[in-house]
Amino acid sequence: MPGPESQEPKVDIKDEKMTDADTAQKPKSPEEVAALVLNDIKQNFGFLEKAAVNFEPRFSMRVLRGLGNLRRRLTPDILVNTVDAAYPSSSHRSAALILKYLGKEESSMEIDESVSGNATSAVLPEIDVYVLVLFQVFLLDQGDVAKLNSFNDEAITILRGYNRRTLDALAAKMWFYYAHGKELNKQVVEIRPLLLAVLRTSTLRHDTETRAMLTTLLLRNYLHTQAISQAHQLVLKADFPESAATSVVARYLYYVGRIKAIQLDYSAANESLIGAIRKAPQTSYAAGFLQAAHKLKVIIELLMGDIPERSLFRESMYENALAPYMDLVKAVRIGDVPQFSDTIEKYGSVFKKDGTYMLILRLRQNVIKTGIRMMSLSYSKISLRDICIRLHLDSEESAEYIVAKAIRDGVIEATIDHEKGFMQSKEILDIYSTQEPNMAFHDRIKFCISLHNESVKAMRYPMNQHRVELKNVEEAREREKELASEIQEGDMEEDDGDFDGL
Amino acid sequence: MPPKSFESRARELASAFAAKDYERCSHLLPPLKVTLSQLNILVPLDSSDLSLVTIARDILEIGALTAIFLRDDLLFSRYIAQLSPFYAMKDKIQPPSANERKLIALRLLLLLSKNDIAEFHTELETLEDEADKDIYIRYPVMLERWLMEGSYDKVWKATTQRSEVPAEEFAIFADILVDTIRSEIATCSEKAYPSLPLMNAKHLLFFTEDKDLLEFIEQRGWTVKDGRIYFPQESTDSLETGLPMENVIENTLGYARELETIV
Repeated sequence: MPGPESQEPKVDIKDEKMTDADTAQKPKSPEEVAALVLNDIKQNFGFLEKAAVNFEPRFSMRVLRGLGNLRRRLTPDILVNTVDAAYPSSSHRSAALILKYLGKEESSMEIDESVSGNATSAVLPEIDVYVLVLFQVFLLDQGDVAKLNSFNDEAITILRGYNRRTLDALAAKMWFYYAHGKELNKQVVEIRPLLLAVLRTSTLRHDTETRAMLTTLLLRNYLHTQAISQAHQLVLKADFPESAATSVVARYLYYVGRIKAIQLDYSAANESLIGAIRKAPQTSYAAGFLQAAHKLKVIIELLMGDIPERSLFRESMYENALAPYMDLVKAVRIGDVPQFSDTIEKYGSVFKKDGTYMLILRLRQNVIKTGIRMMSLSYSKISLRDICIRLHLDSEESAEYIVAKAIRDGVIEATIDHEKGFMQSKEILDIYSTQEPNMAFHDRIKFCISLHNESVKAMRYPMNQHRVELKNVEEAREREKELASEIQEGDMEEDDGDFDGL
Repeated sequence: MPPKSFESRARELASAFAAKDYERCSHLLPPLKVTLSQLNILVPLDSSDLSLVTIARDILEIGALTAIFLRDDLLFSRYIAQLSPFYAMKDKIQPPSANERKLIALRLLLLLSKNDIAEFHTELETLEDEADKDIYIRYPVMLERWLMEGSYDKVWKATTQRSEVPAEEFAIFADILVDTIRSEIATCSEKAYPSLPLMNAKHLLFFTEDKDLLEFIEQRGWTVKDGRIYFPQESTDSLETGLPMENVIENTLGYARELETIV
């Protein structure tokens, strides 16, 4: 393990003690900040070691969770210090790579000959990959896409040299940044064969995290180029490991929801999206993802004929992003076709950017159906001509056909009288006398049961704790036995004593 | 075979197509395709020779259009599938194909007439934004929209009136589409109208001859009485009176089992 950091200046502690109240505002000097960050990084090294030794993925997850916090505080100097701390010599492959990209080439080194077994084995692979990931994130934040891509190519080569299960979570992260870099560079299609090959390898090795992440990355790749049928095939053929990290599962469910929505399978799409929203973290860090997921969910609900709740649009996280969608919902709810067309025109560019434009175009028939339903509910009898005028349809004939189709689709319960030219609504059925409540309850009960089962399965007990408990229990029992026997003997003695005393 | 005679054969094919001699085209096509595969140009790669790629694409397009005129759906679908890698590289091939839009629109129309709406929308997604601007592609898109809404009169006008149809190939699908509309309207009418006078039925179903109408009625199994058509009424209320025992029992047993399992 790297030696303890001894640069912590004593001034720091005194300062903190003196200015407790405004510690946050007091500007720390760059060295102190760097030292703190370096300390955090070294702490993470410790966690990674524990993870590797104990096979506990929880520590790697913890380290990765801290990644978001760290990346805001990274500077080139800190990275150089990290490299020094992590690698025994700067001729190590990864060290040389990072230093090269930092522009701090030590001396004319031969990178080839440093690929010796000695240098590699001295550094824990987890730490190696972690430092590489840190650097990836750093380059990404710098915005230097070309550098990021060439670094990624070499980093991936290093990664593929390892085959350790404890590396899974970190490897998945590295693949994510690799694909992200390529996407920014618009090199999406070329990396497909590579991603597929790595997916195969990770499936063979039972590497769940990487497998899940790669499946998700491939889906994103296909959807990016609108290759929907290929994405669909991937979903059908490749099993997705449900035991992967929830963030990856959430993303996967989102992509599956999109594919199904395009293929007109709205109820399945809705289920996927509900799952995605539930699994995503509910904090503001996931705001982008939650906004995108909610946008899609709103559209799918509209396509299914339900109106999304208004309370959704009032939450602060969603207010701005979902504003165009709220106008859309209003237009659909009223059943007003011209207003609908206006809304589409007004926000067309926003919808196209979100990738929901084509889905929204399909909503037109929903608007008309809603309009007809309103008519049928509010009027017991209404002439076709009036329907035509109110819904802004083109002709009475169209109105007649549309109403007939609506009746066939079960949107309204009515009959048409052709000669007299009117539509007559039927009596409304009492819903509690049908099976509807039963089925709704059944769905909810099913969900609660599965949630209960999953929670029980997810409970964790530290591995040897129960043995310690057992030992305690056994000791306690022995002590009790001794006590009991002592009491017994004591009793007998006392009895004798009493006898004697008498 | 030396490419020279290949090119002359390609020209022969083009002239036969222009002269609307589709039988001859269909004879010329298979040997041409064999030559294409011998030249390794049937599937274009980045490394292929661009002039040959252009010729190959033109040949395949003629093949697709011939299949339409000969009303061979399978053959048409096969040609379109073979053309898709060519269209994927369309930036590199000059000149851009004039027929591309038409063929894509024809494919959409084929899917629509087979009622394969999921595939239709999937293909439409790949086209992104061009639907409104291009006259060929607009045709199947608007048709689909009207069919979904239920304004069958617009569909009727679009398919039968020559002024609306953008190209003659589209007219070939007209028959299939008219049949589709008729069966749709018939199903809707069964549910919507308690009964319908014959004259109106003729108008609604777009029949011109009485006997066509009567044939159709026979086919659907409706009854005619006093010049009115009566649709078979479904007996709706008798089925649901009892409790759906099986379902309830099954569900409840399921709950009991789940609650008691040790996970």
